[in-house]
Amino acid sequence: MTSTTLTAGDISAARRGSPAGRILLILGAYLAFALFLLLPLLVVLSEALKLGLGTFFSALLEPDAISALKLTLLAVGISVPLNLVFGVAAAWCVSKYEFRGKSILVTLIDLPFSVSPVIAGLIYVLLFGAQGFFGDVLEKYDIQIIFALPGIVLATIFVTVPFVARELIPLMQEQGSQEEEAARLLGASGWQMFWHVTLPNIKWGLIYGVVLCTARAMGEFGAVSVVSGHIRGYTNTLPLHVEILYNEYNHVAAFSVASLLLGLALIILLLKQWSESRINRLRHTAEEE
Amino acid sequence: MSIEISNVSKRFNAFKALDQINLHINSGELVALLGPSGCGKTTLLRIIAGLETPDSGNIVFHGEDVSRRDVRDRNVGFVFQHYALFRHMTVFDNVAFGLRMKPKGQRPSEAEIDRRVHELLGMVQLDWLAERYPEQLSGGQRQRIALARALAVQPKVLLLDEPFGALDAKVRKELRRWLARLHDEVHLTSVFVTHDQEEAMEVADRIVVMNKGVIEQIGSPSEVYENPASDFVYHFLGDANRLRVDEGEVLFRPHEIALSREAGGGRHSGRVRDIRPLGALVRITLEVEGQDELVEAEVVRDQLLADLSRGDQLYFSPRC
Repeated sequence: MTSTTLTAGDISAARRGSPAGRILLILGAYLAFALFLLLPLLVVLSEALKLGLGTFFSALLEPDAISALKLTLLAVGISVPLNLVFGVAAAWCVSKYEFRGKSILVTLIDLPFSVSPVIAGLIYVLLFGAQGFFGDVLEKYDIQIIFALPGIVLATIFVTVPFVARELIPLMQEQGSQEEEAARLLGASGWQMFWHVTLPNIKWGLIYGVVLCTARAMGEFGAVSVVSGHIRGYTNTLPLHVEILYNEYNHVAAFSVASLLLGLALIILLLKQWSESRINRLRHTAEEE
Repeated sequence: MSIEISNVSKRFNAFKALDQINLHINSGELVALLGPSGCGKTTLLRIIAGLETPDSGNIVFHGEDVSRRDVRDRNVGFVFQHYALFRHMTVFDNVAFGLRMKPKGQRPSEAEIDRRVHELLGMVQLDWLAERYPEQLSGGQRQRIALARALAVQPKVLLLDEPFGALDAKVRKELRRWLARLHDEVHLTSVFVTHDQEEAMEVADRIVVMNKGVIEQIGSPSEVYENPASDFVYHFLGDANRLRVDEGEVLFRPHEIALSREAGGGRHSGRVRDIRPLGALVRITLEVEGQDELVEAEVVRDQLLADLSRGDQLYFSPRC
């Protein structure tokens, strides 16, 4: 133990270089952080509060803003649990079984990362829109997907599908399936095995994936913008509502709503940090074994 | 409970892991599946447990065909090489797991579970570790907990996959003697997989020597050692010397040799290349003219060796 810490120390000492260079680099990092991350946040807040707290709250409590918030939370509330199930199922499939086309499946899980969200939205319009592939069938049964909640949820799911699976696949591959086998041998049913053995082992990775997924789902603009139709009070999510307000030169209201999104994002960031530290602690104890 | 394995074959794509295996294991017996890695021994063990399905053939437990039965209904205890303890559970919860997973009607009360778990922990002499987590235990302790966990559900068969493989030499020796003693007490039909011939010799009632998916020989430790059925078994069960004579070769083990300072009596000559003390014995490595392969002799320390040094000329004859 002592010897490993020593070598780690030696390496970092070698890498550290001259003190001046080190200070310069750290200062640069702080400057970039302040300029590109902190400053915009402060601008958002100061713009939102420019006309006082009264205007700030009235922008948030305006019916259209409330409905946008509700829609955002609803879309997140539907798409995140679904992605949680998809993600766990896909990660299970990939890490516990050998089958043909496994590498294609893993690649496909990553597809939403490489496809532009606007394209993803367009795909759904082409599939489910009035002139789309399923347009006639949907019209016959009076089912509205595009410019309605189902379209928004579909687009959100598409964009956020990789987060949970991506987080779980390496974790589950690393853990192998011997504990699951041991559970089966001891008489556990499939469900008991999952609940008592698999789930506790992937718990923190799962929470981390879900948190990332939630953050992305809440902030999604491109894909949702294409399928939503921007109907105020009906199909506007928070990011879309911010855009509309901004385009109407209603800057204070736009920034007020933006700061609401910002607040949600900060809460999620804290959750992420917390789950990440738990994962690292688990990894650490695993390495010590 | 007896185990009957008949005509079991298994392929992994193009690789033939097991080819028509037939094996009968008596009730209460401790059998070792011995062979080099890739010989199919672990696959056979996993097929007995139900973790793998054979392509053909049957597994019969005490007259009852269990080939189609799911893992959880076979009632086998299984011990993994790397323990496979549930890392997020305490030692107590690990051992109690099998009892707690029983269907409601058969599940013992928590008080009964508590009693049984402590009894098992007492048996593996680790009662004081009940509240620890697996990561806080040494390898030998983990393996004993894994064994207690496997025994908790009162299996009819105990299967062990290289149970001592991940442990260091000293712990391994202690633990295998302990396992042999335990088996003497509980007399549970047990099969364990190993690539270590010494381990198989020391623990098993019978040894099944496997190579490339087939059984080379089945017999008691002394049978397979003294009457090996094939060259493979001979070489696998211990070190062997090969000596070229006229137009053939002689195989003999390092201890099957007589050494002398004097020539004659049909003895072969060799030059001492290395001398290594091995506790009660000394290993002398000899270079023999006319062959590249060295000859190793393991002999008791005596006067002959007292002033022997490298480069000396010695005469030897195989005694087999």
